[in-house]
Amino acid sequence: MKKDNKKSRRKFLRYTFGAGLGTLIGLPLLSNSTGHDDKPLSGDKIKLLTTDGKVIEVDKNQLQNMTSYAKPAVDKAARQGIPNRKFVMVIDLSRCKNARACVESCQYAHQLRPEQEFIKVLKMQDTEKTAPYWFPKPCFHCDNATCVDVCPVYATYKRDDGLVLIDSDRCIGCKYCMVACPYEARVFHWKKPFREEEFEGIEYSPETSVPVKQGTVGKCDFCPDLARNDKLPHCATACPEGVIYFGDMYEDTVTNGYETHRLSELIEKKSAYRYLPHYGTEPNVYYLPPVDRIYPFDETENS
Amino acid sequence: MKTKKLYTLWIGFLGIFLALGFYTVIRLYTKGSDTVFHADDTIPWTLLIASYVFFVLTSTGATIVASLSMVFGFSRFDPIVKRSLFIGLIALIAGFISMGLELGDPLHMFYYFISPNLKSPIWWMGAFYMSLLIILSIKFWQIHKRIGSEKIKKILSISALILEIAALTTLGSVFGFIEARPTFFGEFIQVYFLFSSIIAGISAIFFFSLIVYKLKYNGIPKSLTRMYESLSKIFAAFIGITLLFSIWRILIGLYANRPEFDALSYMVETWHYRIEIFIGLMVPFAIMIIPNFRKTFSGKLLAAILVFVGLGIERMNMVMLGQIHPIFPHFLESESIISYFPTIWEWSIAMFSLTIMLFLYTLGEKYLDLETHNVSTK
Repeated sequence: MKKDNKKSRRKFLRYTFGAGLGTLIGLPLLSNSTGHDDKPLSGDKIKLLTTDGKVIEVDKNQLQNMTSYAKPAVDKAARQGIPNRKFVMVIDLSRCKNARACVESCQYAHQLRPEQEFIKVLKMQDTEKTAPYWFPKPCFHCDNATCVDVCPVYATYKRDDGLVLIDSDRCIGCKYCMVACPYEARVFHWKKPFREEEFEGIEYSPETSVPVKQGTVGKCDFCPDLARNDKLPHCATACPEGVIYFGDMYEDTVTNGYETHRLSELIEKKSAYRYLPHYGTEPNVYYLPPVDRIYPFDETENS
Repeated sequence: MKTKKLYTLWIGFLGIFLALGFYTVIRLYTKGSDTVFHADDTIPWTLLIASYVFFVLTSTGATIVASLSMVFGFSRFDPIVKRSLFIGLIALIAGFISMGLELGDPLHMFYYFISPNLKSPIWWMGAFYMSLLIILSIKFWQIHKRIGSEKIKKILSISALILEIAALTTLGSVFGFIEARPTFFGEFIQVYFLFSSIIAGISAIFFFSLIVYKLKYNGIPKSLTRMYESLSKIFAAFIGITLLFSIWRILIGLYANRPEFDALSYMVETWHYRIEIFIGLMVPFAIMIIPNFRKTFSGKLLAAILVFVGLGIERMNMVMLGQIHPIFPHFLESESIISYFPTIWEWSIAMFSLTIMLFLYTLGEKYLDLETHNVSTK
């Protein structure tokens, strides 16, 4: 019984994840994607949960297969980054209700175990007098990344597009980066890779961080494989509240799939801040303070 | 006959820990690191890092003591040069074993050579300690075979001393450079490592040589008593300095307002921290400064054992001090202090490293003639 539940949950997640492409950063992705429009409808309908909470039905053939995307970069290209881009993330703390869709979609895409999280949703409280709030915490992809400095073999590196990635094929597993990161953004793959058979045969890329390699360090990668296809990271796509904006600093634009903003305006008007700036790490994640909240803080909220 | 029986018992004792160690290594590489390690991302560095620090600092300490004769020309210390170098070598090997088994993917280590990150303190630490291993091996071989010109010996000795200081202070920087973890005590830890390394080295030299003297000559040979008296005074002075550093480290920590220093407030209350300070430093300091105790064989041996064990606990406390307080402020669900106790398998690997060191020492004492002087018992 338990196994069935697990299976159906996997199936649900997979389809939700696939549906995210069609529903969050726009149904246009479904209709515009080449190779899928040509397929005749199968008549086999699948129910999908959109990120705004609606259940919709789509034909099975309309689902886009993730593997049909442009391939993630490997080797030298994975070290150089996407030209003329500088990725940035903005997290709106006033919207987060700890739905944990970001955590789960990230875990699913990155072959993580249930106890491993590249993006964590922490319960924060600045002072005793202020209200608590939910605080999604991915890797901050710092410009002065301590983890990059301390890695003895350049397994962790900074790319031209601002991303800090890990090459698991090179990581020796000394864990120095984990100790040095002021944001505790890293996880260690202590155990045998999860769902190993599903990722078998897939070429490893630091851009996808899969297949996971035991004995190495992992962390949030901002999903550059999706960025190569002009798509949002898994967490941003999955978030039902549009908490996570992703964009390009050079274009001064960020989007959560619903709204698009000028990054500079958002920072100025909403008094965006970066976390623990005194370390001088220059993070590339900005937070919009938890003011004028859409939801009251609810500890039980988890859906 | 009695010695032979003791020797067999000793080898048997080492054999048990060696077998347990080999089993743990097999377990690590067949069943996975989660079955051996504490496996918690909030405490990435565990007992094996402490064990590594313990052994490599003992190594540098022992070889710094050897340089009293080889570099600075204090011929009084000539008799302990070969043994000190050997202790330095085997302690380094024990340290490398601990570190090697701590690594998640040691097969990727070739990237250390083909893709070096010169900004990384760990890279430099590794480079210094590996160079030291080579130089110490050459020096030991020269002394053992009585080969090599004085000039080359001198150059190698000076190079070794420079490398020893560079290695142990770089090891300090591995911890000290981590800005987010102030309880590693920044640049303070590097100077602390220098002094505590020297007492670690002397305690190892005392421990190993005194036991051998007891078995061979039923005490320190007469011709060596003056040297051991001098070394005991140096030992006393450096235990005192290390103790002073430890006390100031506690006071700085307790006066600091930063929440990370809660780790220190917690640590000073624990039994293991008290052992480190009282049993590992204060008692041996008292033994070494009171002439009636210092001059006795058992006084020296007891002080050496207490410092040796105390420093083992100190390295663990030091590694944990920087990690047991969560570094992410205002996170409501975080524990104020993260608890950690080594798993039985982590103990097994640490003991494996120690056993390898003891086993190599036993072989060295048996086959390499670590005495470099004519012993006179009169």
